[in-house]
This record gives sequence, structure tokens and C-alpha cells, in this order.
Amino acid sequence: MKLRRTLLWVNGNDTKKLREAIDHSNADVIVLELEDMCPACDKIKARETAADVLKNWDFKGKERGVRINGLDTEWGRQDLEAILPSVPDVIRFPKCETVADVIGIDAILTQFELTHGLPRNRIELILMLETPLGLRNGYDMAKASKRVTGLGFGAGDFTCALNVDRDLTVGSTQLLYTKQKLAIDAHAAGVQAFDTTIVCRPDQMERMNEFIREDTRNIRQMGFSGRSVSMMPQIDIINSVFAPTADDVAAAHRIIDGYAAGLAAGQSEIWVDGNFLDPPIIDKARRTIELADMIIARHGTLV
Amino acid sequence: MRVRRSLVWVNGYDMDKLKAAIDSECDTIVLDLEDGVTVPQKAEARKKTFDALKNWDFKGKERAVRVNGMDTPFFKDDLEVLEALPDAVRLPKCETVEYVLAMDKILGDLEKKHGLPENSIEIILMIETPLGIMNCYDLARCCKRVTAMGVGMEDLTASMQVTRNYELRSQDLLYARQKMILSCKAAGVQAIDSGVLFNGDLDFYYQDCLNDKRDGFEGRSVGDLNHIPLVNKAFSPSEKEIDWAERIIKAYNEATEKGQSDVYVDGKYVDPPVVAKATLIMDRKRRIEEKSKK
Repeated sequence: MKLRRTLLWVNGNDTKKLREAIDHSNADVIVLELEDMCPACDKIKARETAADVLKNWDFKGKERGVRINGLDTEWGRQDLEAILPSVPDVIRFPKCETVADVIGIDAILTQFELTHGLPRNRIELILMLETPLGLRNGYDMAKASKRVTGLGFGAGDFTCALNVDRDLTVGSTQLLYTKQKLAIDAHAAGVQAFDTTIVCRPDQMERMNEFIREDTRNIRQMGFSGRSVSMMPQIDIINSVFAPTADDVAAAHRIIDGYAAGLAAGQSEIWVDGNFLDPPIIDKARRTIELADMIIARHGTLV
Repeated sequence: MRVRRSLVWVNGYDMDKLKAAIDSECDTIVLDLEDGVTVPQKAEARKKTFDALKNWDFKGKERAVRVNGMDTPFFKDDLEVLEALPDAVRLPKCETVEYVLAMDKILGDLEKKHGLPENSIEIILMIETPLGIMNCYDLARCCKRVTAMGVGMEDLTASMQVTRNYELRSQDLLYARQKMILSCKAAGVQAIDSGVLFNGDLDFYYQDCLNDKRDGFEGRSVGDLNHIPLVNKAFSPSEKEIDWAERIIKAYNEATEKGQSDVYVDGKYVDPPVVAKATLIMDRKRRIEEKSKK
């Protein structure tokens, strides 16, 4: 699994923000936006700019993503035609609702990979679930193509579809079923789960940062591996919530070492730090160490 | 259906614990060949489990065995243990209907071979992965011998890549747990919660069991024999419930005899589901009493 704690979205023609995101942020993924945050009058320009930067800029180890317009809009197909020659790492596919939607874009990407001598499934897909129908079909859509490596939740469109106001209080149960179902669907299909972004006015930033930290703790505990982000100051907050702490890593090492020592000594029951070591506990410890290693390999430190 | 409030897990080689479990008040004893037993101990565990199932008096307790996953290299040798004819098989990490049906066939063949009635060896399914959660209703319905479904929180949290927190009324994996309980009830099987893998804090543990009961679980796995009285108490009807149920049934019967159309108890209207609940409570009380007489 890839390290994808923060998926930073940058409007396709905003090369200034892109420069800053590449050089000065710790975002794991950069997603060039062509869809809803890119106004219709800018769409053509954004598409051309995104194709150019994906081809010619050095993203310095960050994953190169693009969110295209839906294939049922007037822009979607041309977005793909323009973007594919630059071979993005991942495409964020908006408002995905049915298996047929996934198979449709998968066919276009497969055709492109075949005719350009690229390995099959080189271009990955993160499906955006933003409607009740999309939520219902999450597992089947995630299984519909091997290039799907993530399911993302879009709360803005989803709450709009339910005709409710979005509740931004910490611990709100408004979207509990929705988010937990998405996480189960994603894990059952063996892909990652990503939560929605939070946008706020710049003058609310400080208050919002506290919310982001708590909210991210909650979704991490549901099984999400990361979330979309649009404002740079939120990146380090989110990254740190998804990173194991030095204590977590030390505890994981104690479990792995204690287990190995217990086995070597022929112990029948192995206890470490007051916990009985069941195989899943060992798995968790291994994963914690793997995640820590990935973060250190990328950023040099654990945060 | 059997009362299964406390399902004590005993590692397959641990005959001292088995003796203590047989002398305890637990409802089910699960002899474990799977994750509680390390690889070098598997052979010894199989041998001792076979012997115990065959020759020991379990004093009325359900004799279950947790086999290794059927897709592991360890399962083949577990088949010999099943020849000792346990009352139930606890089947770990169930995800697909085909998997459960494969065990159904094995047990059906065993029953024929030994002249047992069909479906007399029950299956307690373990749901421990996201895919298992997705499919759990179908798994519970796919054959008649499935009579209970247990959630394994340690493996489930591992495969969801989250930590397992011991907090009362936690919302962690709430959807998954509620989906599993609902699937159990829809399929007509018992819902069994996970045990805890820590020592101490009995107040927490008792409260957690009461919450489980409120959510629809009928029992849970138990690792520590000292926890059995707590778990049994939590999953049995309380005195308050029994008093309420008796008054409901009495009032309802009286009203029906008199031809009254509206029945009220404690100021609350008694409609058929209220009577059904009261009847279930009294039925569970009766089954628990019968069991302890044995």
C-alpha cells in the first residue's frame, strides 16, 4: 500500500500553488483539479496546464494525481485525452456510482496503456463516492478493476444529495454509517479509504485546525488511510495523526521481539505489556513498523 | 437453541485449564487448535483435544473445537480431531459461502459415517475480516447447522488497520458490529461478541457485557475463567426484567380472558411485540434454569 495520508488538491492552472506544494509541503499526493473547484471558464486552460506540468515538472517523490471531470460531462473525455499522454500516477474519478462507470473508464485506460506500451494498470484509480448510489455500490466498484486502489468520500456532494446541512462538530454521528461502510467496503476489496476535505475561510483557519485534528483521529480509527486536503497548513496536522508515534513504534518492536523470544523459548502463551499476543496483534505491530519505515523513507523523520 | 452466554476458550493442549473449565459455570468450552496454539504445539493440542472430546465428561457443557482455517496447511490434520465428534465446530475467518459449505459437507459426511442425526454437529462461524462482515447474512443462512456467529475483534481491527480500544460505548466499527448482529437476527442465529485479551478491570468488563446484551449479543468468548460468573450474570435476564416480564404476561392473559382490548402495565400500552419480548425473557430464564439443573 502506498503512503497516502494527504491528497492535496491544486487547481489545474494554479502553477504557483503547485510549485509551493512540491517544494514546501509534506503532501503525500498532489491532485491537479479539473472538476468542481475549477470554474467552467478555466477548464480548458487548467487541462492544458495540468498536462504540461505532469509531463515536465519534477514532483520530487510526491504522487502525481489528477481529478478529471465526469465522463458524462462535456469535458471528461477530452480531459483524459489531454492528460493520459503525461501518464499520471493516479486519476481521481468523481461521482462514481456504478460498476459500469468503473468499467467504462478502465476500458479507456487499458486501451491507452496497450497502445503506448505501458504496463497494465500503470495508471491507478481512486473512485470518489459522493452520492447515495455510489455509497451503496462501493465494494462492487472497488472490485470491478485491479487499477482501483482507493475509495474516496466526498461529503459536500453527499450531504447535498441527502439534502442535509453538513455537521462539522467533532464526533458528529451524521455520517457514521456512511463512513464506516465505506471503510469496510474498501478493506473488504483490499483498497485504501480516503475521507473528505474540509474547506474554511482563512480567518477561521486556527479554529478549524483543531477540528481537523480531532476529526482525522476519528476517521483513522475507522480504518481510513488518509484524506483530501485543500489548505496547506492542514497537511502536517493530518500527516501527524496518521503517523504512528515513537511510542507506538517502540511498543510494536517490543511485541515483535517478545514474540520471537517467546517462540524461541518454547513458551505456549506469550504476553507483552500486559497483552496476550494473538496473531492479529503481531500483524498490527508489523504494519505499524512498515508505516513508520515508509514515512521515514519519504520524510526523513516520523512526522 | 442452546444457551451460550460464556464460551470459554481453552488452548487444545491445556488440560489443567480444561478441568477447571469443566468445573466452572461456563456454557460452552471451545478447545482451540487455531491462533491460541503456536505451530510447534499444534500436534500435541490435536492429540489431547481428541482424547478429551472422546473420553472426558464435560458435565453438560457444550464441547466445541476451534479448527484452523480450512485454507491453512494446519487444517488437514485437524480433520482427525473432528472424528471425536464435538458438539460444535468454531470455524475461524469465514468470508465466503463456499468456505462454510465445505465445512458443512465435512460434518455431514461425519454424521453419516457415525450414524448421527443430520445437522447434529453445529457450526459457530467466526467473522473476523471486512469481507466476512459484508457477507455475514449469507454465511449464516447457507446451511442449517450454523447456529451462532461470533465477531473476532482482534482480527477485524487488524484487517481494518485500526487499533482495538477498550472503551465503553465505543463507536469504533459500530456499523460492522451492528451489521453483524442484524444479520444474525435476520438469519435466526445467535450473536456472540469477542473476548478481551487483558487482565483486570472487572467493572469495565461487566459494563461492557451489559452493553453487548443491550446491542443484541447473547454471549461472548471468555479467556479468563474468573470472568465466567460476570459474563453469565450479564447475559442472563436480570431480576428486574423477570419481574417486568411476569407482570406483562399476567396482565395480558387476564385482559385477554376478560375480552379487554387495551392492556396497560406501568402506564405503558402492551402491544404484541411487548408480550413477545416478555415471553422471550421468561423462555431464556427457563432454559438457563434447566441447564443449571443438569
